[in-house]
Amino acid sequence: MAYLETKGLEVSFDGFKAVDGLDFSVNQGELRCLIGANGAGKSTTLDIISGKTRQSAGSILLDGVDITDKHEHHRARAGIGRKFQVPSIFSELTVRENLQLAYSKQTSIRHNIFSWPGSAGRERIEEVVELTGLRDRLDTQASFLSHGETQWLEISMLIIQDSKIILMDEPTAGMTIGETQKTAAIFNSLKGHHTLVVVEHDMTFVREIAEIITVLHQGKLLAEGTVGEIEINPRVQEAYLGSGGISHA
Amino acid sequence: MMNSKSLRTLIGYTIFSAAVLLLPLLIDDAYTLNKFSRYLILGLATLGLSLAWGYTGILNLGHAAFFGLGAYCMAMYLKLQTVPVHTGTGGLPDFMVWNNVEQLPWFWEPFHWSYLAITAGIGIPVLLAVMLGWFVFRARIAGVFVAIITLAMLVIINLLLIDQQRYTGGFNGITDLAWLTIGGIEFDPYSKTFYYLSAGSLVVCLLGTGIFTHTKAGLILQAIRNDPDRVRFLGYDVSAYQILAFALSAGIAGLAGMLYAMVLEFASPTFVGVSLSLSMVIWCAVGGRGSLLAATLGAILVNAAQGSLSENFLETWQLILGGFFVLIVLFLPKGLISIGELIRWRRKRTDRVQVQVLSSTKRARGIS
Repeated sequence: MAYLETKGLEVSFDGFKAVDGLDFSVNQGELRCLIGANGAGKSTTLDIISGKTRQSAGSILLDGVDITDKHEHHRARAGIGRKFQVPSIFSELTVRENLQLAYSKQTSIRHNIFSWPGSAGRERIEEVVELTGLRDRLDTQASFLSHGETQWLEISMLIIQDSKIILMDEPTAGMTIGETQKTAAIFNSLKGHHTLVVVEHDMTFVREIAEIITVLHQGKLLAEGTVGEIEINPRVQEAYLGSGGISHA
Repeated sequence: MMNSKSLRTLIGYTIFSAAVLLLPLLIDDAYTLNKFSRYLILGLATLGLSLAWGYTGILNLGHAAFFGLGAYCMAMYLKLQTVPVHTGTGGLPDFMVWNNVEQLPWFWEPFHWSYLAITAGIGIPVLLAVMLGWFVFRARIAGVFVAIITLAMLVIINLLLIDQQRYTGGFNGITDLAWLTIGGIEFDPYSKTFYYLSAGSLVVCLLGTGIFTHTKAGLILQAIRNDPDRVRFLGYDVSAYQILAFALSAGIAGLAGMLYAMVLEFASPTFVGVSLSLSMVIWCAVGGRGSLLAATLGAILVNAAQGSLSENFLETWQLILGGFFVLIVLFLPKGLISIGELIRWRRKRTDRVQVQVLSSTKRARGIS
């Protein structure tokens, strides 16, 4: 059974339909790549699923539960985590504080006014900074991190948040080749425990991590299949004409 | 586990608390003591503001509304304690007699009891903050719009107090108050007892809010100031935390207002005035809104400076103070607390300039 499912999802900005009747589903533990030309509706789809943008029609089911009308924080509690295209971290706080905030198993005021930020999740934070190489930066204010490190911080936050499904919007944007490879390794290790939906332009990266690719075009689902199937799909090639073919997208 | 930042904060709090509590050993003059009590009380009100503005990013231009409501609650109680000197024969406040009010209005009745009055002085501002916050923050109103709404609230309350002269004393407010007496202790505003009441309230609130800001909830508030959307995607209910900060801030303002009515021995619509409210924002900014202690110190310093400048430069003191504010906004946007940062930065820059000069001379000589 599908873990995350959207039915007839639709959203329009001033008459322009960014997402147009999208039926899309992901299974538990799967890593799904979402690709498509600029304006295909990839980021908007993530925005709708995470609750940042309201859909004008359609519904979203998470593990069989309808979350269509829930606020962002309720969706986050239900298990949806989100990484943004422009890294979204707390720049005025230290790396450690950012990670402590991401450890959000307890969200109620009543609990949080009686607990210290470091009292829970310390082992988890240690594990994750080991994985992402941010250990030496724990007491650095986040605004002083390099671009790559900032991306890493947000990815670390998502891992610590321990969402069941993680929506990643261009996680490797601005990363060096080495950093991108390390990201691919991490993503491969997350498969199975987490369900991931990754929007990505870098086809090398997609080939390294993807099992199944979903191609969006003008807000609609164009094709779905393995990397090999998608690369030879004539409809995909047609849609990508003008942008130099899928490999250069 | 304590990092250097927390340690510095702790040392700052300790020195400040000790200084405030030991001050009466140096001062014997009742007038000066009363003046310092007043500064500390205004510092307390500003502490509340910095919790909402500096920590959570809620720019509240109507902070004096919470302050003034606290002051009026205390004034109503203390007025009823003056029976029969400043009240009519039926225990009716003098201004009501002049306005032909024949019976004490129902909402004045609870103010016969000190504990009810004190509860109201904190509870009413908190309740108002929760109600306003519920509408504002749940609708995700932020930034300058919060400033406009809180300012509007302030003006409405101010106008109501002036307009309802029969019940509130109008422009004059509630004057000729008794001294608060609790458990046989009399709080004469010119006494050390009263000074310790103000200083104790300030120290307790400062330590309490200091601890609060170091909890997980306090960290969430700072995160909300930084990026509320990110906080939502982590699963926290942002509006609930904003309401909490706003209500705490209002409660502290209410307490400060009650003390203020006691120290000045009256309450008037100026306590709920736009001018006082904006002044609090300025004090907060002058000290440093990012730190509770800095904001409190800012209020105390500006008021002390205002006091001594107005005594020494009768004509030009406002000009001097205004110039001082402009300088701070231009060169110390984080407030006086950041003066150390500025010095460190200047020193680093001088070093860099020297390195640059050195390397350019080398280049000129063709060494490089």
